Amino acid sequence: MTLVTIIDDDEAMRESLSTLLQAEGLPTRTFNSADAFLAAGADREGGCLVLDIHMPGMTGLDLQAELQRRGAGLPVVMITGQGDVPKAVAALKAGAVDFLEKPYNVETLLKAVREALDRDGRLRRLDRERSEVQSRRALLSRREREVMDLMVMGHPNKVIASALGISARTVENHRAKVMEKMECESLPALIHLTLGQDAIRQ
Amino acid sequence: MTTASLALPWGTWKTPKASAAALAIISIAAYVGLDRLGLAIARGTPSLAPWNPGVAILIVILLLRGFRWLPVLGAAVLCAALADGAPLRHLVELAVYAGAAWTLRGPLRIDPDLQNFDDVFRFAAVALLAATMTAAFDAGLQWSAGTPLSALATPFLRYWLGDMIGLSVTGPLLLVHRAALAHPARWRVLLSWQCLAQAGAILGTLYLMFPRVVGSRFYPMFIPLVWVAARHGLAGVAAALMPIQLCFVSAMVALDLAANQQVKLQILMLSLSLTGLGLGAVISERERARAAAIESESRLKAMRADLDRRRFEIEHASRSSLTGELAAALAHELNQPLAAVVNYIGASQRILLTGGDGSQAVEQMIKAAAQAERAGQVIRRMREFFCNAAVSAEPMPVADMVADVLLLMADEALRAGAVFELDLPAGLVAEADKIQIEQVLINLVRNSLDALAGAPGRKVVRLSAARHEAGWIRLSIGDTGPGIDQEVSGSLFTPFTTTRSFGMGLGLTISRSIVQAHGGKLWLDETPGEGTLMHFTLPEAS
Repeated sequence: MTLVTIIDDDEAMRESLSTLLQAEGLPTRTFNSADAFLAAGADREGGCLVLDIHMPGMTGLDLQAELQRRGAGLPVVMITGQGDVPKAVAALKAGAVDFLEKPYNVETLLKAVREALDRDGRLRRLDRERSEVQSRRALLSRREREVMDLMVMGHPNKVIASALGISARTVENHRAKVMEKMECESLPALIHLTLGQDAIRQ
Repeated sequence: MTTASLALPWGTWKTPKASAAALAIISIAAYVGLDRLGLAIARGTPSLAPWNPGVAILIVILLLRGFRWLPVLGAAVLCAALADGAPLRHLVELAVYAGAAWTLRGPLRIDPDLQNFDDVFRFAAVALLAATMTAAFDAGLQWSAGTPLSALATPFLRYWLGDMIGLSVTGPLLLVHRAALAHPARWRVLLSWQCLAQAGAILGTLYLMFPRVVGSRFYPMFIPLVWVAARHGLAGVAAALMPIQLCFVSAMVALDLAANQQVKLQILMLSLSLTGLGLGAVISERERARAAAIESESRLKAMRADLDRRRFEIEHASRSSLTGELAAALAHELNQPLAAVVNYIGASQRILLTGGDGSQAVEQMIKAAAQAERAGQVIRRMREFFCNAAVSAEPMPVADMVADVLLLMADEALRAGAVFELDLPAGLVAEADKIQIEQVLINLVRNSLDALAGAPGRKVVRLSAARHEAGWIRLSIGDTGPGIDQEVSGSLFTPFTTTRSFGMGLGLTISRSIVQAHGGKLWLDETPGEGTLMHFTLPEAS
């Protein structure tokens, strides 16, 4: 997904930026205010945002906060007509990819947009992986999940057996099932998969 | 100056400083000497002495130095007793005046500088009590020696008068002028024309009084004394009483006045001294109050000057920050088209480099040029504003200015679907720069029209003018729009605060600076009501 959404109250800015990005081969769409963007429900789609910080009504910072509240992980490139250090800091702290002051260098802008799109791609891939692991995990029985948790913590079969009050043989069976359902070849692969999930959850 | 100390079973004894030793010797000598002199004048009978300044020495030393000096005074009393062989009288004197000093220091807490009328009054009251006690003791002694009771009244009165005069003439002089010895410069005031004239007046009255001392001739003495009191306060009276008293005593001796004449003079002297001291104290107090008032007034004046200076600085700072605001606004307004130019050029570059459609690239170039032109317009607009910034005010009928503005705004009003309601009394003429004030009016009217554009209901812009305060005309622009959010009203005059998708959010900032340049104010009426109501003031043409 390489859609770039441009939100700026200045018409010339919207049009010229859109032209530039299209010439660069990126699909674009434009909105003249943050409210119009939200009203169109456009935040549910992917890509990245190029956002003017000074806008009547909802400002760029407001929209950034609103998107975060909604859990829409759209990466933002913030632009401003005037240098404003506190606002730049606020935008970057809120997770903006970059903060550019008009008039910016075209290459800098394109680099920032590409980075934002990359980040979006990464986030989406992680998202996909997460839901994949989730669905595999859902296949496990309660006992299998217990066995997996202890396996991932590095305990040998004997310890798991005594901890759960079952025979080592049964543990062996559960273990094979876990590896099968989680589609893992080895214990390190399983650990990697579940740890990645933990990292995302954090 | 060194002091040595000697540890004794009951405490530490320190050798007194030389100045203290000198004071002790002077006190003893003065007490004994004055006592001998008084007795000499009175030919041996203490109650016949014209005054008794020695008791003032006792009370003053104890007041100033405290009761550690009691032994010194005991020595003085002892010397005097050895000289005249009447130890009991001196001991009683010391006891009574030590008690008086204790009363003044302790319960009454008088200021030894006699700064207030109260201090003088307390001193006189305690002196009166003490003099009564010593006089009564003296009368008692004479009674026990066989003098009949009927013959005691006169000696009692004379003794009492002697102590009272001694106290009232010598006491305040020593207390008020004790520092003058250390500051010889203070004596110079005596050589001023006024002091010399006062001295002349006192001598003149004395010349009138003597040698025939009759009641009616006493009274002129009050005139120079009141003069001295009025001019120099307590300090003047304290200084003047002593020479007068010395003249009286000299006259008594030289003219060999009869006893009844002496008593008349004593009564006069006591009346003079008490009246003069009271008056002097009141005047000193008033002078001090006046000096304090003058001082606080000058402090106030200095504070006001400081405030004025700061206000000027602040005004200057806000003026220069307005320039800064304008510069920032200029940058903001320029950055918008410049960024667009950068975008268009970047786009056409990419189209041409990738071998795309040339005509498309040309289209982007044309758009870039248009944006560059837009930047130029911003600069032109700014320059116009700066050129017109100087105020050239002249008498302008308010109704005419408003009419001109309404003519200019008629189209916009029509588009917004708004009507104007006017309340402009004829005859209101403001001292104003027409072009600038019209800018302000246009700004405010346009704000109202914008507010009305999306508002439901009847759309009205009200313009009214009225006399505000003396010399000021108030113009008000109100509308029936949705009003201004609490949130926005705080930053209403902050540059770049705009709720529109166009403009730079400088309208109110510039309007306010124009009105302020005229000396007036521009403000938002925050009394709750319909829509928005703005006021500004202009000086009325005289």
